[in-house]
Amino acid sequence: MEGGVYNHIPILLVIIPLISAYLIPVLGHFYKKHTYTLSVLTSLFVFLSSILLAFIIVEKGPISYYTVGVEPPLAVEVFADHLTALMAILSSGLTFFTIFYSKSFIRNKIPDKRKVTYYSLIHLLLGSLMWIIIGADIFNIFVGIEILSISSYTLIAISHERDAILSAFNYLLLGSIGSALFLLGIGYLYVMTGTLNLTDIATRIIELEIGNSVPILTSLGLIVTGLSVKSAIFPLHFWMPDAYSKALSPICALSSGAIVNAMLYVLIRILLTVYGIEYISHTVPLTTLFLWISGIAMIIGSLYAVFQSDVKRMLAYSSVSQIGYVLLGFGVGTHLGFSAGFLHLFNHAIAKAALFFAVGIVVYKTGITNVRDFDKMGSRMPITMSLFSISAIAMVGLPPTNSFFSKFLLAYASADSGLWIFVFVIVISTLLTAAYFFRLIALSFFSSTNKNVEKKKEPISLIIPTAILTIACLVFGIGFSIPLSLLEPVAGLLL
Amino acid sequence: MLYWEGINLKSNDGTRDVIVETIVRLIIPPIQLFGLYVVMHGHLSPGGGFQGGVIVASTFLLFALVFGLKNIEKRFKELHRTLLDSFGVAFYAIMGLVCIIFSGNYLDYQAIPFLSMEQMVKASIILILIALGLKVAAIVTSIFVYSGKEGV
Amino acid sequence: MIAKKNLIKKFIGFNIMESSIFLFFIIIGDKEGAISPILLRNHEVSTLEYANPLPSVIIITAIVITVGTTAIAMALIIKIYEEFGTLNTDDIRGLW
Repeated sequence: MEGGVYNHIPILLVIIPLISAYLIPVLGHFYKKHTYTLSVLTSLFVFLSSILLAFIIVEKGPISYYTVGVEPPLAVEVFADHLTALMAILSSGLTFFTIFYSKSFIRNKIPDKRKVTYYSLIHLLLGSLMWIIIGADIFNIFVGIEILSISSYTLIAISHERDAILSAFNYLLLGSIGSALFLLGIGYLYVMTGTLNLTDIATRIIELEIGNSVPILTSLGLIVTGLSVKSAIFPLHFWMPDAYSKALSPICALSSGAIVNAMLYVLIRILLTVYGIEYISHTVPLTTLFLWISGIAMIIGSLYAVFQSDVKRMLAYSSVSQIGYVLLGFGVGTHLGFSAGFLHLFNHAIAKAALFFAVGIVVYKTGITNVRDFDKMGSRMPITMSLFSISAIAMVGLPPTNSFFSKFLLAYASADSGLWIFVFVIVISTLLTAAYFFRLIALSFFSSTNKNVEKKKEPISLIIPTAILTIACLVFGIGFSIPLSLLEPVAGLLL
Repeated sequence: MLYWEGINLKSNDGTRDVIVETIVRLIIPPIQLFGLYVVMHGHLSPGGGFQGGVIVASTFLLFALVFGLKNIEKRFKELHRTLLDSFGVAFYAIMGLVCIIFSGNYLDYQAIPFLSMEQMVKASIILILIALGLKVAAIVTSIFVYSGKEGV
Repeated sequence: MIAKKNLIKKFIGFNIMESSIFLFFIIIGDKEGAISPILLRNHEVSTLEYANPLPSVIIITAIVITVGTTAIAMALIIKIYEEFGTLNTDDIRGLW
């Protein structure tokens, strides 16, 4: 409980977006113009607070905080350590850039009354993301996941196009099944241990020595399956390509950058805190299962992406394979693998968001989503396509971009544990990623057809967030030790 | 009765059902009273914000079912609903923040120095329950009204 | 939820599944001969005789969440009906 007044920052990170999410509709009734200003200011405040939180945690160590004035484990506990700070910076930063980007983007797509709903929902999304990230008892995490899911179902459907609504409904059905399974898993855990606090459950599982009993095993299975549905891990990813290809671009960026990452974060944190790494690797061979699933996901995701003709669907399948990389890092089970996996989570989020933003600019100006129509796009929208190309190179993983270091560390970690086949899998998947991205880049810049090209004016307020994120890819590539230094202590604490 | 003025009582095909109307007129106030009771006694007996709020909302839904959507729009305007909704949540969150200002933790009612500790905890809980009840009533009515309108 | 083709029936299946999870929680919280968990001033009751209040809280929160999801699902179904004119998944797939 060190840190004085700064102790309150984690809970403020949750409360402030939630309050503003509810004040925005009131403001929207009287002054529609100011809703945008309020949203940008709030998200900027949350972003800066999370950076401040990171500094404090690095200085003083993890923050543990309890509400209602009663000591844990009886009360609701809030916990913030390095990994929390990293995820908080990532989520709030992405939300800030998305709100900034959305101002011009949704000008023509959504009628005025719904724009207020849009901003309010994004704030709900931010608040629930923060809630999931700092929550230290399993039921708060569940509530956060539910609010996150509900706001993302609505945000995907908010453009009211036919396909968007159908994909949102599909996502709703599958996501609800995932939540129900997760809730059932929580129920089993509660029956056997009688508490909801994460660390307390872990202590009681060890004390009561019920680790091998059927309910605990069942709860493990249920929780893993439920969260895998929500984070689009390979065999349960079916809602993802539809939902991402039909939603508005800023929502796609936020979704693949922040939402899926938060679900993965929850999965890994629950698995490591409640069950412990020994249980997972020896008693139940879960890490082995994750290893194989991640390998298949990496290859099949990229394979599917090569055959897509719609740009956004291609990016969605690419997300499926990148999630495989993160799982590989977790499945390897060593400190290095764990840090490499989360580093890749961070890098992928930034690069994928930049890609979705760039594609969004193209869609905004020309309405083109088919890969074949990207002919000569480089001459029509040079700045956008150059930013796209740099982010694409970042996704593929050439030096000095950020993914190079995370993929290299992943390969190193798997070689370190003697799993040489996964080095091979990483290489193949990278080659496939290069195939579908370079095809697009070549078509837009080096095409040899004679097409009549006129340069289109690219709106500045859309270019700025894209450019910032792309530059962040390069910055975090060269300075990859910055996020890594936040992750190293966590690996020691959790494993 | 003054409350019932200004309400267009003709339903879609021009018929009026006397029995249903009379019963609804008589029974809406007791149900609202019961809902209020559930909300206010939330810290003593099962119930609380959400449950009482839904009971009060059900009276509005009953009204909408019998007298038509236009009348519920007149009686419980959208602006009021949005205001109740937003201030309900804001009140809940700000109560927690008030506790922080008095150097407790979040939602730590024991730190507020107005009354004695027991009474303060009870008072805060009751206030929050009332705010929640109003909010839930507003929201459930909104959901119903929006589902019935064309072109949501 | 998988077998039926009508969208509303799929959603009713989901609601039934959630309700069964709530029943599961209720069963957990039950104790024989227990009293509801409210402090009474007049009688001294030992803490062993109170029923567990925690599952009730979990269930209330989960019910609220289910209501929210139901509301959104209903809104989406209304929109789908307006756009496609049918609620059968086979026909919708044909029209997509």
